[in-house]
Amino acid sequence: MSLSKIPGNPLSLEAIRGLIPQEMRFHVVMAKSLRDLMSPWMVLMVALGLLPVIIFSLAWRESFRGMSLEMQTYSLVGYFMIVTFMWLAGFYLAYIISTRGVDSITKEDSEGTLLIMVSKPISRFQFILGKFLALLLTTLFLELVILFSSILLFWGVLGLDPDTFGAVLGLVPWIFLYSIIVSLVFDSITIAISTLLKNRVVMTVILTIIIVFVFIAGMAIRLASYDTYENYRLYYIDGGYHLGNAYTLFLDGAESGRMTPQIQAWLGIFTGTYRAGAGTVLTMFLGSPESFDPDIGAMPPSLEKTNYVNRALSTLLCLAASAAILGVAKVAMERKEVH
Amino acid sequence: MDNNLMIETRELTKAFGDFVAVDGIGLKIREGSIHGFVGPNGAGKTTTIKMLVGAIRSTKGTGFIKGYPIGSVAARKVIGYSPEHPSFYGNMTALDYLIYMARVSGVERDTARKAAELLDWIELGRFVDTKVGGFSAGMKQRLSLAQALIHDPELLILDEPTANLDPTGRMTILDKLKQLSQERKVTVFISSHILSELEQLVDSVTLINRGQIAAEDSMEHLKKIFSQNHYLLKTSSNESVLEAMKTKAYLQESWLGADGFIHLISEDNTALKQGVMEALSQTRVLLEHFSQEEVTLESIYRRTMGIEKG
Repeated sequence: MSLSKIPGNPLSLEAIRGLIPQEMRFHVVMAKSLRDLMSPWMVLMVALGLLPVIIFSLAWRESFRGMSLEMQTYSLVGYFMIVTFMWLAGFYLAYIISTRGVDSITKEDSEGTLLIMVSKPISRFQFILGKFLALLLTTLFLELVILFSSILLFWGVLGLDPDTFGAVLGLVPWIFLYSIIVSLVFDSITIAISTLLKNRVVMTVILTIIIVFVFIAGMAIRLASYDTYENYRLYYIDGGYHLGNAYTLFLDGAESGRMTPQIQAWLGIFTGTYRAGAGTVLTMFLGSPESFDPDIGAMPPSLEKTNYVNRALSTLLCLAASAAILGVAKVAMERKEVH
Repeated sequence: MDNNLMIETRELTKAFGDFVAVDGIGLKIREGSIHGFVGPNGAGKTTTIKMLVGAIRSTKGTGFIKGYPIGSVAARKVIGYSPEHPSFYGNMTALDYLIYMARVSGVERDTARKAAELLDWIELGRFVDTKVGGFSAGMKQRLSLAQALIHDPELLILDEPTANLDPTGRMTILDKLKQLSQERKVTVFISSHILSELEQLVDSVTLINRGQIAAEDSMEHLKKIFSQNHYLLKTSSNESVLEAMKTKAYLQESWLGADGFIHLISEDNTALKQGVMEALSQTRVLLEHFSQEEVTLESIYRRTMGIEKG
């Protein structure tokens, strides 16, 4: 008999169920939605997520092996941070959330199952809360799998030294915390859109635009004209900047999370958290006197942080935006006419 | 507010843009009754039902289920609803589906046993482990009734529960409803197009047309009202007799029905009978049949909806 089934055990399912007030039934919807989401597609999703990591590792293998151990650690930790921000906990995470979550409400509506559901004595908010939490848990589970798989891939392809392996592994808890923020934001957006709209094509287009806007728009404006970005204070509405701020806040907590100026420059370009234009990166990689070469010992100074918005405040803004969007989904669901 | 009312609506209205689907409906359905909700396609039956279960909001007016505002969780706790075209999660088994519906409805204990018993009762016991996606229309309709009953509701709202079913399937559902009403005292609010069957089941009825109530009463009273002044006449030449009688002042309505009878409605029964005798002798035709109409729900419906008049 499993521990959870022993009568009287404080960890038994009955005991846990007893802790949830009777009117709270979102966990029932969540459990069912989790079963629906945890399907064989996840293997495909993991493969899709790892593809850029595999390509990157194979392309980088030779030059990586030619580096000193210290350089290997610095480089791998740095590039892992960039790959994670832009792909594993960025585009990829937002993409899997939107593709899996877009049907959350729409499918129930179009297939007619929502009609019976809304006649049941469960509040509509609890219904979408269950859907939201199921999507959140699924994507976070997938994110953990993909983060560990990436590190194992690096280890297998690049042949990591234990210290380098440990340094990269040490980033995972902090990146995972950041992934929770990204998931909360995109889960709430996806659930809101799934509640508000019916046409899958329209929803997919809107979600794609939002994802591109969050991760690309700010970067494009900064690369085109840093002055415009700063003079019009566009960072206030730049989702990528606030996520970048949250990201650097969490990475500061990681022992191995110190960034080389090169990585700061990349992160500056992608997020705006460090003052770095296109010229900064070009200068660093095309061999100016400031080129970074720790084997020789030349280390350019750290880049200046932009500090447009306090990093903790940016993190709170991301959480507040997620709560506000979920609030919109709640109102939309409560006003939804189900035919 | 009447404490014995299970459903009460006041001026309940639903408009979709300029189109008023339900126009100021006032319903009063007593606890424990089986109430028929009848009307032609597009009359507003399903729209009314969807407002009662909280699927759509009214444009105007209010409604209560056992005193709770329609659409509230408290009201929905009282209701078990089966829609006209029930849809299910095709990848779930019948048993899993009912367990899920039970838990969503707040049934915490013995859900599996309860679901299995309900499937047995609705004669789907052999299909507990069958995926719902493979169910026939009749099986889905029965499963829909089961999910409506899973949390022991006091009120069953059924929208065309026997539509698309064969006679055996229809009889099964109707027998179950009678049983529920008698044994568990469940109030049933049922819409159906099959009036002959509905008549065997309901004890009160609302007829709705173009979003408005055309008639509402107990079956007994409606039959009494509609049979009192309604006579059927058949002669060897219906057309000439109808022509001779048409202008008589005591006749409120007269028409030749598709059933081959002249339908005569008059509040002055004596004058009507005399008039019939006079018309027969005047036109020199043979009398084949003359009787007071035996009123059925179908005849009430036909008259209320203005079908076959004149």
